[in-house]
Amino acid sequence: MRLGKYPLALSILVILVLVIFVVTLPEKEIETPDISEDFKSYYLGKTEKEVLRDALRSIKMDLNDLWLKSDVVEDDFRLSVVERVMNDPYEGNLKTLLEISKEISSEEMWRVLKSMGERLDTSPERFSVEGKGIPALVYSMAVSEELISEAFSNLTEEELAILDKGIAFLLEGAEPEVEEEEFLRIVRKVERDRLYSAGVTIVSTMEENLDEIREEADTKENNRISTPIGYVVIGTKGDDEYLLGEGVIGVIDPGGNDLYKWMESSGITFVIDFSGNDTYIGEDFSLGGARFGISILYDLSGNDYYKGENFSIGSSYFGVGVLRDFSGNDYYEGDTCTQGAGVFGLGVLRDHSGNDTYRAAFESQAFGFTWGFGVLHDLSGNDLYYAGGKYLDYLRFKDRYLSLSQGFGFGMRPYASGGIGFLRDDSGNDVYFSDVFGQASSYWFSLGYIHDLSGNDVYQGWLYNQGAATHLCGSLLLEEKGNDSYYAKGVSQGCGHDLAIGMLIDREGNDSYIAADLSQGAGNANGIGILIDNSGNDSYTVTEAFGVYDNAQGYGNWRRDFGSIGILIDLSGDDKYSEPGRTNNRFYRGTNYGVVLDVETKEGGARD
Amino acid sequence: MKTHKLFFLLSLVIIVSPVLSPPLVESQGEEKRRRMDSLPFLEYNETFAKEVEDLFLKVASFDIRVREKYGEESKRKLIEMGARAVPPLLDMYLETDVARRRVSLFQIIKGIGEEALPYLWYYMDNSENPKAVSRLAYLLGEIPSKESLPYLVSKLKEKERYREALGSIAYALGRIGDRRATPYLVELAKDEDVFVRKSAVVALGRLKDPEGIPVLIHSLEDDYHIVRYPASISLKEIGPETIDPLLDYLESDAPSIAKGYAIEVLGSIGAVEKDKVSKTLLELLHSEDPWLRAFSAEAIADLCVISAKKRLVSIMEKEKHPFAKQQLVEALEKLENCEKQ
Repeated sequence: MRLGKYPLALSILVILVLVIFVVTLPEKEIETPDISEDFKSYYLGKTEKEVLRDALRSIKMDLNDLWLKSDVVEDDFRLSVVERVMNDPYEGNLKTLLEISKEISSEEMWRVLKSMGERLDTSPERFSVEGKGIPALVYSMAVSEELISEAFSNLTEEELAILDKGIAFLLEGAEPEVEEEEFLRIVRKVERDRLYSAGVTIVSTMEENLDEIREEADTKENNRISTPIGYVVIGTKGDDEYLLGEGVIGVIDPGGNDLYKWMESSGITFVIDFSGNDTYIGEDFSLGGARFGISILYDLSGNDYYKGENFSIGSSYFGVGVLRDFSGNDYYEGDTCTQGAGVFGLGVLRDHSGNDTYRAAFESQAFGFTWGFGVLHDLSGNDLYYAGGKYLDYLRFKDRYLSLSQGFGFGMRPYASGGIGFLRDDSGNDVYFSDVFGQASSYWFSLGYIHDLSGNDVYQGWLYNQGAATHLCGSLLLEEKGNDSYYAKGVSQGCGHDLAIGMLIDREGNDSYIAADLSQGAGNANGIGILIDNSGNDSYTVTEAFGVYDNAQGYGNWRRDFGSIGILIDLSGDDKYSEPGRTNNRFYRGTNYGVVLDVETKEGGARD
Repeated sequence: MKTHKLFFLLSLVIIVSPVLSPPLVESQGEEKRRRMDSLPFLEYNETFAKEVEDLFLKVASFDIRVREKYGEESKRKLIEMGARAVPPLLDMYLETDVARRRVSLFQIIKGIGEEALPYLWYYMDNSENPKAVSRLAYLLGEIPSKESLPYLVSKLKEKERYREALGSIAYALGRIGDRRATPYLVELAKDEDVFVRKSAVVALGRLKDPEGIPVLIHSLEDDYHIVRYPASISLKEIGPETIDPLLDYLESDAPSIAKGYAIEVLGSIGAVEKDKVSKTLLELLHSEDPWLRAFSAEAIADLCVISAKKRLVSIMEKEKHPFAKQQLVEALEKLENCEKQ
């Protein structure tokens, strides 16, 4: 009854309590939705290019921002294909690799050489040669000798001697006795079309007449043919020993386990060995290592051992060098500019089968210098590629060695743009080891490529490896199939340093990436680094074994008042990332110029 | 009559303007000549040059063992030599093609500091090689002094001749920080070369001159991120005076990426006019462009617009675009943190 006296006050009190209750009621927690499904439904049908575009859009860029200014330095040694990659670092780079990969895989080596010459902006011709068999080969040598002489006809003896001295620009520790500008002035006078035409002509004649040459060698055993440029020796089916040089320019051997000693040479030299487990020991410019000319070595079967020095085993210095081994488990060993090295020329090493070992110190195993193109093409087998261990990288380290090998492009900074190094391995579980600069990397307006088509491969490098580009150049490591492992200390695995594009693309397999710094989609000093993994359950690890850097997995830093671009995109699979923020079905933007985008597309973003 | 008046006024402005703002190039006069005549170290003997060279080559050695053992000490000695070391260093290495030497030269001259300036001006006056001019300009930017302004601007009179140096000149003008350089930088921000444009927009940010706002906003539409992103940073540097022009810009039909940068700038500096800025950002959450929705959510979170939470939640529930959705989720998490703070 007493309460009845204060109905209004009671009502107000109740309302007040309610208001206080509502106001103080803890706000309902916002539930964080699972956005993975949104990612899956959105990206399922997207292509690699579309995903890359989205990654760029998230950092306020578009595909046309993947561009590198190439005219900051200009010179007349720049290859048009390098310009193409600089102007279009993603698609242009990928298309260039695929086109060249196709071109160099032609069964006919002369076509390979012709296409390589064309990539060096020349137009090599194949000159027709009359006759069949050995006479045709000898005739082609005469034609080529004429072409070589035309190639250097604009040069005086003195200038030729200066070109010869230029070899020192390539050899570590050697002091060139010539100024760069003077050397390059003379280089420009060489008629490269003629030089490469000479290689194309001899190789095409040799390959077209190989059966006839074999038949003739069988019937004309132990013979010696005199040609205007030297003797061609026809060996026996037994175990022979040869000395190339001192008048002998060519050997045709029908069989047996032979020993070849190959002296330093220039001009035209060749060996055709039809069978047996052979041993080839050479000096500089030997074993398909050309100097101012053409050098060819064809070994058609057997487990062979090749040991050359500098500019050997399918390499060239102003010329065309080819080594083609058709079968067997082979061992290749050399020092500098060996195993597919092109220096102002074309160098090809092609091994068709067997488990092979390639060992070199420096600038080898698909190395392309200025106006040069080096190719190493291994078609099958479980192979080991080793480059390094001899020349200290004293610019940076007291205990690491320079490699500059395994798909490496190199230029004469700042005087002349570089060339193309292309390593293609078609199958097998391969192991690649290099130290500083290697495994699809490049330096100074050049291109470094590896195209590995299958197998569970292991890549190990220290610095500037596995799709790394340094100072205005491009690189790409394209791994098509297999469960692959990549290990490097840094500046690797899709890293561009200083206005360069470094790319690593792995199409299939469960892959493992380990690096410490500036890797896995990292851009440094205005470079662009891209790592794309299309499928498989992958793991991306940033190791702290060499310190804590925090500059990998989608990282781009700020230099010269603008940014470097670092992109990592993974297009399918259940992936693991060591670094925070990176996970399946997410964008990660660590810096304004770095992004990781992990999505789930159909078949890894069906490349368009 | 009106035309005549206008013509008269324009003529007056043209006549009077040099008085109001004296041209930078001619302002040196006697002072400059006096300075040029009193550079005691311009001439040096071979022994001294060799001493400088020996020390320098240790600093810039290609061998890590040499650098580690002698590099720092040699650099210190060169810096301690002061202005005396500048002429031989410039004569020997100003036009070097070796990057390591170029960088070492810059470090040493920078270390010498203001003492080096009269020599840098002298070389600037007497250099016709664009590469040398570019490097001298860079050095003048590294040792900022308003007295350097006329030497830099004088080279802009022959823009095509010194094209290679334009970026470094813009850099130096920005580092010196004198707003008299703004008109030159506005011009350079429209240059055909992407790196010159970049250097100019960065410099405009360093000057913090609101006169630079229109060209900086226009630069958000540049074809290259090399210009766009530095332009957005420069707008942030200039500060709140950019807010209204940027809000107007968001009303325009500018490209999506450019608007994204504008939104980012507003998220960074919009706090002083939070209500006005957040109103526009909230509207942009309904944009048809998922990237603009995403960046707006991000900016709203950067500004800690706590009142927007419910709206973000309701938009998030409908959002299908993965990036926009992720940004909404992250924005809500950020706003929760704002609330807690």
